[in-house]
Amino acid sequence: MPFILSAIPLAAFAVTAVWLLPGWATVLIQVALGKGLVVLGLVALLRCGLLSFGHGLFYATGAYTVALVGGTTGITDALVLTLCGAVSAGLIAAGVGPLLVRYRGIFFAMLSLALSMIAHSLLMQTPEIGGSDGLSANAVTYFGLAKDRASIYELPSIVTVVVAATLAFAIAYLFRSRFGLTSRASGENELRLEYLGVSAKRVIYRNLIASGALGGAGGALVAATIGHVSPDYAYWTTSGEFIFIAIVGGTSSVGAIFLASVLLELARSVAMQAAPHTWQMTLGIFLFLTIVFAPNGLGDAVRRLARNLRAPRRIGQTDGNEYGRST
Amino acid sequence: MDVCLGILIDGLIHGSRLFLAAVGFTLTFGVLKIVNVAHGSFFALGAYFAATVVTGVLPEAYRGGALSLVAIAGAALAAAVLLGPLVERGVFQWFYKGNELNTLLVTYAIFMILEDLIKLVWGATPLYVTEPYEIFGTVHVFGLGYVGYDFFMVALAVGVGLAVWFALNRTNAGKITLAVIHNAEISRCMGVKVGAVFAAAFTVSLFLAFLGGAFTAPMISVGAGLGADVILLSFAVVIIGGLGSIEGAAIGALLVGIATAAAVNVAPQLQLFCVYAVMTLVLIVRPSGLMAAASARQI
Repeated sequence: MPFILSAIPLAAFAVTAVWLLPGWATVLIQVALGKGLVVLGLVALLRCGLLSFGHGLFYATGAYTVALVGGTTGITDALVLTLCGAVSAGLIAAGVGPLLVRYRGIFFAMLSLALSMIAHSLLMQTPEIGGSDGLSANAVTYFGLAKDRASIYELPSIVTVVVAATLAFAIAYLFRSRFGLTSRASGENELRLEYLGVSAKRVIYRNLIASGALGGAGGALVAATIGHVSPDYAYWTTSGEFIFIAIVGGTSSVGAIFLASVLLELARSVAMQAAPHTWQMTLGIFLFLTIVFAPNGLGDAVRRLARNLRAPRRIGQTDGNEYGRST
Repeated sequence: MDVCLGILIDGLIHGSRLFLAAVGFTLTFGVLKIVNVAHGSFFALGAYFAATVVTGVLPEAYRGGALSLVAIAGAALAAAVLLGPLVERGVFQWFYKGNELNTLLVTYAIFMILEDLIKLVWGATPLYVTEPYEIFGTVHVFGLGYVGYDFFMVALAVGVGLAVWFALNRTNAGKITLAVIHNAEISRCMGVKVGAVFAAAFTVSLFLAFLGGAFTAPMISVGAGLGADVILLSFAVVIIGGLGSIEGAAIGALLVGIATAAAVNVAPQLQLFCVYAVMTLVLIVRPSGLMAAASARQI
C-alpha cells in the first residue's frame, strides 16, 4: 500500500505547517479540513451516482451534537465529541437511509434536500436549542486543556489534522477495497450489478451511513473550531458549497478534495475582504468553468493535461478513458 | 368551518402563484430534459423587471391602472424573447449530450451568478410594487374579505394552464413539441428541427417564469432571497406532480398551496416543514410523482 506510506511524511509536513503558520491560517485550515471530511462523505455518494443536495443535515447534526453534548453533559473532550458527532449523524443516516436508497437521480437530490430543509426548519423553530441564533460550542477541551490554552500549543489544529488525515486514509482505503469498487459499479450500471448478485441498495445504504458519519465528524470538527453552531449549517446553500468542493475536487482522489476545500476557504476569505457582494457570482463562475473544462475535477484535468503534454494525441486516438454513452 | 373555507381559498390563491412559478420549470424539464435550478432567479428577474417597469418607467398616473398590468406582461414577453434563445443556444445546448448531473450543476452555477447579478443591479434592499395590487379592489367570499388581485392571479394561473395545454395538445407546433418530448432523436430523424423546438420551448418557459414573477411582484416584497425561495417551492411542486407534466404541476401546486395555507392557519412555524412533509409522503406512495409518464428503464 504505497499511498499509506505517504501518510507519515504528509503528517509530519502537516504538523510542522500548523506550527509555522499564523493563527488565522490554522483556523482556516481547520475549517477547511472539517468541511473536506463532509465533502468526502458527499463523494462517497457521488461514486454511487447519487448527488446529495442535503448533506447539511449530517453536517448540522455533528455540529449540534458538539454544542449540545459539550454544553449540557460533562463530556468536553474534542476527540470524544467528534466521535459523538459522527455516531449521531451516522444514526440519522441509518434512519433515513431506507427511504433515500429507493430513489435515484433528481429524486434522491430533492429528497435529501427536503430532509435537510426539514431539519433546518425544525432547528429554527426550537428556541430550546437556540432557534435562529444558534448555540455556542465553546465547551471543548483538548487533552484536558481549554481551547484558548490548548491553542498555545496548537493542539486544536493538530487534533483536527490528525483526525481528518486518519479518516481520509481510512476512506481512501475503503474506496480502493472491494466495497469501494462495488460502489463505483453501482454508480455506473445498477442493473448489471444486481445481475452479478450484489444488492445495489445495500451498497448504497452502507455508503450513506459512511457518508453520514463523515459529515457528522466534519461538522463536529468545524463546530469545535468556530465555537458556534446555527441552523444555517443545515440550509441548502451550505450543501451547495459542499457540492461545489466535490465537483472541483473530483471523485477520483481523496487528497484533491481537501485541496479543493482549502482553496475554497482561501478564496472565501480573499473575496470577503475584496468583493463581499459578488462571492456567490464568483463561486458560480468558477463552478461553471469547472464543469465545462474539468467535469471530473481539477485533479483529473491536471492528469489529462500532463498526459497530453507528455504524448500529444494524434487524430483519431482516444485516451481509452472515454466511454460512449449508449442511447 | 370558517377556518376550513379560509384554508381552501388561501390554498387556491397560494397554489395559483406556485403553479405560475412551477409550470415553466416543468416545461423545461419535459422538453429539454434539464433541471433548471436557475428558474428561481428567472422568476425573481421577472419580479424585478416588473418593479422597474411600474415604478421606474410608467408615469405616476398610470401605475394603478390596467396599463400597468399590460406593461408588466409586455416587459416579461420582451425579456423572454430576447434572453430565451440566447441562454438556450448559447449555454444549454453544449450540455445536452453529457451527464444529467452536469446540467443540473451548470444551472446551479447560473443561479448563483444571477442571484449576485440581481443584487448588483437592483441593490440588496427589497423593492415594492404595490400600486397594481389595488386595481381590483377587495372581494368578499362567504363573508371573508380578500384582495381582488389574488383572484386575478387564480384566473391568470387557470388561463396560463389552459393555454399551455391547448398549445401542446391542439396545435401543430405543440404536437411536434410532444413528439420531441417523447423521443428527440426519432423526431430529428423525422425531420423536426429539434434545436429550434428546444429554443422555442425554453423561451416559452422563460416567458412563463418572467410572467409569474412579474405578476407576483405586487403581492410580495421583491428582495434578495426570492429566487432561492421560489426554486425550493417549485422543486416540491414539480416533484409532487411529476416532472414534465403540466397537469401534475397544477395538482402539485394545489396540494402545496393547501398544505401551506393549512400550516399558516394552524402552526405557522411549520410552513416549509409541511411542504416537504407532503412531498416526502407523495414520493413514498408514488416514487416518480403523481402524474409522471411511464418510462422505460435503460439496461
